[in-house]
Amino acid sequence: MKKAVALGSFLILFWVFSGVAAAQSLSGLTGPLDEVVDTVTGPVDQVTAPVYKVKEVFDKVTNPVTEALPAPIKDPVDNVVKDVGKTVDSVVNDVTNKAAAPTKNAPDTSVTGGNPSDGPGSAQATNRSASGTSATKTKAARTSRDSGKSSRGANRSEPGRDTEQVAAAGNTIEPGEVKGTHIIAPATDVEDSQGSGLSLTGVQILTWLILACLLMGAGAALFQGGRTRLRTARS
Amino acid sequence: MTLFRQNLLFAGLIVIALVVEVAILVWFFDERNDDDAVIGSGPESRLGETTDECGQASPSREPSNVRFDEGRRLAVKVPPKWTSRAEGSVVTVNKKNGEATLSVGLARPGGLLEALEDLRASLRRSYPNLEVTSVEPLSLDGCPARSVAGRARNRHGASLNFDAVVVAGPTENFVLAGFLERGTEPRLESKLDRVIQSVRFYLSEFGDRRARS
Repeated sequence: MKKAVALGSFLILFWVFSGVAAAQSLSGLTGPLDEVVDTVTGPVDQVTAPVYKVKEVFDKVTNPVTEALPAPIKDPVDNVVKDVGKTVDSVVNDVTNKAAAPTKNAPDTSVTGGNPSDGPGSAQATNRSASGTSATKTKAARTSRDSGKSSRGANRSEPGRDTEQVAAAGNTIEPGEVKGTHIIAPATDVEDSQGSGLSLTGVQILTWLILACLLMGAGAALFQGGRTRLRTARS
Repeated sequence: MTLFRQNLLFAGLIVIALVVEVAILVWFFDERNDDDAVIGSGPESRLGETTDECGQASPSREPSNVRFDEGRRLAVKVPPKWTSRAEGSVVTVNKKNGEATLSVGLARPGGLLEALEDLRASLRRSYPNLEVTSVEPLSLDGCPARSVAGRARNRHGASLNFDAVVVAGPTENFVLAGFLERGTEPRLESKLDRVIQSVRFYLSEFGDRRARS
């Protein structure tokens, strides 16, 4: 009986320690579990609260900025297009004025070429000029839009565009709290929080320990019961 | 209860203990093997080591668990329990619980340093509080490459570790970036590293070496 007890105890103890050691070595934990947990828990607890506060402030700052981004970006672009239109208008006006100025300053020319059709002709010219202005403006706007499109198109066709997409891939990762799991401990900028959370490895170690304790308890109860019965039978 | 029955019961208890122990070991090691099975068969190139000539791999010889880009210029082996998608020249693999992601695509043409600078600029634009911890030359799938590693916080507020690489491929430059949330499983980092190592670059769909010229 004593041999069986010794064998059982050895088996259980071996199981417990080998299991924990295997789990620790596999999970990358180098030291004893208690030391690692104690070492990591303290700093993480100290840092967690300020980080949450910082995160709240950060969210308060980033959310309005993020929400406000599309409009300010769109507005300057519209403004630029308007400005381009205005500039084109002013340039066309200047050209028209300069073109008109010699005409006014050189009546001989108009006289020379003067005929009854000049009136409507000049009106047509004005109209043409006006329509030309608007056409130029439209063309300028179109050119502006086209240049925007072409530059975007160029970016699309440029292989380097993937760099932006690849680099931004990390934005798809959501923090553990957002995903609704509190298994992952909040990470900090101060230090890595690897191993600070109750990970799958931790669950496995705990399961291992609980099962070992249950087994030891069951064995102890069995032996205690056996001894009691044996004493009862002897007496 | 006789002594024989008691011994029998104890022996049974020990057998049950052994069975439970084996079951837990299988549970643990099975998952571990699952993680190790990321790469599968075939030659692997470790970061910093050259095992193959650049562009020597052939797409037709790749196993079934790889994801090609649409032009079949590159491929990534998809680990079990990961998802993948290809959008044009970009291939992305994600861990299903969203803790890690890896994207590969075409980089800026030209020199490797230019591509690296372009990558760093893109990273800085995407993550304002980017912290680069190391920049190293290495070899990926036999091709010269440079890696950038560091930390960043994304727009969701998640703290990330990243490992980004620009590669002078057989015909074009490539860029890849792997991200994982800090505080996740420690072995996820090595797993992501193995996914990066599994990336292959091709001269053409059939590995035509003449495409090099």
